[in-house]
Amino acid sequence: MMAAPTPLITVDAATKTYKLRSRSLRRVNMTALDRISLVINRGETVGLVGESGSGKSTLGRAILHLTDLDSGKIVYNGNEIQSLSESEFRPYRRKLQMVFQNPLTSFNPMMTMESALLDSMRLVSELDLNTKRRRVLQLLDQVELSSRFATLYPYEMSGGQLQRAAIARALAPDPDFIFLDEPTAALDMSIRGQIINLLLRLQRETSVSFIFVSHDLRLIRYIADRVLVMYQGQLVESGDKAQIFDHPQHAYTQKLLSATFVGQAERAQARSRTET
Amino acid sequence: MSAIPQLQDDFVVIRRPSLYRRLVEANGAWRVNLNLAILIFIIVLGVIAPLLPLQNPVKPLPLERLNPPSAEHWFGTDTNGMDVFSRTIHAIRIDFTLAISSVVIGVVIGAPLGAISGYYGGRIDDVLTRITEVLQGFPQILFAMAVLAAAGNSLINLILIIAFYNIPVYSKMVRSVVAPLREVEFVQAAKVAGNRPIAVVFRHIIPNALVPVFSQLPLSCAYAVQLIAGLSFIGLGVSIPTPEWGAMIQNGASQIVFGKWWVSVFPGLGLFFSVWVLNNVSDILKSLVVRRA
Ligand SMILES: Nc1ncnc2c1ncn2[C@@H]1O[C@H](COP(=O)(O)OP(=O)(O)OP(=O)(O)O)[C@@H](O)[C@H]1O
Ligand SMILES: [Mg+2]
Repeated sequence: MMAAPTPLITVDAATKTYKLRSRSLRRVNMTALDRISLVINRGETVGLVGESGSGKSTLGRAILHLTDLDSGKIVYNGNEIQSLSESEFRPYRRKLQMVFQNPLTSFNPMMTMESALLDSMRLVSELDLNTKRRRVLQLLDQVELSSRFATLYPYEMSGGQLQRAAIARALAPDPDFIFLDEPTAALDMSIRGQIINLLLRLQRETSVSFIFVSHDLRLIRYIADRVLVMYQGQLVESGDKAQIFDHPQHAYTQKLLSATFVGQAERAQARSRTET
Repeated sequence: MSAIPQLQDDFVVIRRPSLYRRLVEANGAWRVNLNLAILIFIIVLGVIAPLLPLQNPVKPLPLERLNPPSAEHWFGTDTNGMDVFSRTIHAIRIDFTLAISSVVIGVVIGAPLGAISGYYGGRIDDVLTRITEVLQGFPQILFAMAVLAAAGNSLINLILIIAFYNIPVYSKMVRSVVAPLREVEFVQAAKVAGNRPIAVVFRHIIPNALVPVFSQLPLSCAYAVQLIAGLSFIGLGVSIPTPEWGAMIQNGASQIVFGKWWVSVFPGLGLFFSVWVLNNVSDILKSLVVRRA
C-alpha cells in the first residue's frame, strides 16, 4: 500500500524513573519507562497494550513533552525534541496531540466546549476566529455531538460525550500524531464503531499517525497496523499485528491473548454444531 | 486542513440557572434575600451618608454632652456632645473602606503567590509555605500594636497591617486549589494546546480558584472590621473625632456604669450587625463552591 515507510517519531532508549517516598520515608524508585525504543511511521496506527501501571500513559506524556525523561532520545520529523525547553518545543505542540485517559478531568471546568476547542487551536495561525468557530462545530459534528454541545460545560456532559469532545479537541489543530489513551473506553458499541471509523478515515485523508492504547485486543486487532506490548515499563514485544496475535513470543503476551480469546474456538465449534 | 463547509449558525441558547437562583436553591430565598438586603442597605447607607440630612458627625456641642436619645438626637450624644446617630452611620464609611481596601490588597498579593506556590511546587513552594506559617503564627494584635507604635498611627499603616494578615489567608487558599490541579489532565491539555506557563496559570488554573476566594471575601471583611474596631478601642487605629465604631464604643465604655448606655451600644450594634451579615453572606456564597465533579 505505502512505499518505504517514513518514520515520524523515533523513541530511543527512553527511560523514566519516578522517585517516590513510601510511608516509612524510604525512597522507592518506580521505573515507568525502561529503555523503550520504538518507531512510528507516517500514517500508521500502532496499538499499545499492557497491564495497568505498565507505563503506557507515561510513554504518551514523554512523547508529548509533558514529562521529562531521565535518559533517551525522542526524534520527531528529524528534530530531537526531548532536550528542548518548553518554549523551544511550542512550535511542535500543535502537531503532537493526545486524548487523555480520563475524560472527566480532561476539560477545564470553567470553559465551554467551544472555548476548549478554540483554545486547542491557539497555535493555528492560518485560520481566523470565525473559521475556527465553524471548525469547532464541524469537529463536534464529526464525533456525533450536535452544535448544542458547543455551549456546554464539562460537568453538564457524560463521560462518553466528553471522550468524543476530547477526540475532537485532539483533531482540531490538524496534528501529525495523536496519542489515544483508551479513547473509546467510555463509549457504547455503536458510537465506538463510528469514532473508530472516523479516526481511520481521517488517517487516510491526512496520514496522521496514532498510538492507540486499549485493553480491548479485538479492537487493537481491527484498528492497528503494528502492536506494542508493554510490561512493567519495558517493551516486551513489538511487531506486525498478525505476528503478535498468531505467534506471541513473550509469556505476558501469551497470557493476555489467552485471557481475551479464551473459549473462542469452543464457541465457534458449538455454533457450527447448532447450525448443522 | 480540509475544506470547511459553511454551517449555518443553529446555536441553541442554553439557559442556565442564574447565580441568584443557584444561591436561592442552596440556601432558601429568605436567607439569601434578607442577608443580601441588609448588606446592600448598610453599604448604600455608608455611600450616601453625606447626602442624608444628618447632623454633622464631628461637630462637638459642649452644652449637649451625654444627652440621652431624643427627637433631636435619635441615638443621643457622646462625651464630646457629638451626635451618635450621625456618627454611627458615618462610621460605615471608614470601617468598610479600611476593611475592603486591606482585603483587596491581601487578595491581589496573596492569590498570585498561592498560585505560583501551588503550580511550581518544589523549593519555591517550600519557602513560601514556611514564610506563611511564620506570619500566621504571630499574634496579630501584638504585631499591629508594635507596628503602629513604631511606624506611626496612620490609616495607611492600619490598612497595610490588615492586608499583611490577609495575604497568607488567600495564598494558602489559592495554593490548596491549585496544587492538586497541576497534574490534572485539563492542565496538561492546556499545555498541549500551546498555552505558555503564564497562560496556563491565569487562564486555566486561577479561574478555578475564584469561587472559594470570592466566598471568603465577606468573611475577611468581617474580620477586618472587627480588627479595626478592636485596635481603635485600645487607642490605636482610628481616633476621635473620626467616626469609627471601635473608637466610639471606647468613648462610651466608661459611661455605661452610669447608665449612659447609648454612647457605646449603638455603634456596638452597627459593628455587630455588619460582622454578622458579612459572615452570613460568606456562608451563602460558599454554597457555590460545592458543584465540582
Ligand atoms: N506523576 C507520577 N508520580 C509518580 N509515579 C507515577 C506518576 N505517574 C505515573 N507513575 C507511576 O508510573 C507507572 C506507570 O504509570 P502509567 O500511568 O504510565 O501506567 P499505564 O500503563 O498508563 O496504566 P493504566 O493502564 O492503568 O492507565 C505506575 O506505576 C505509576 O504509579
Ligand atoms: Mg494510563
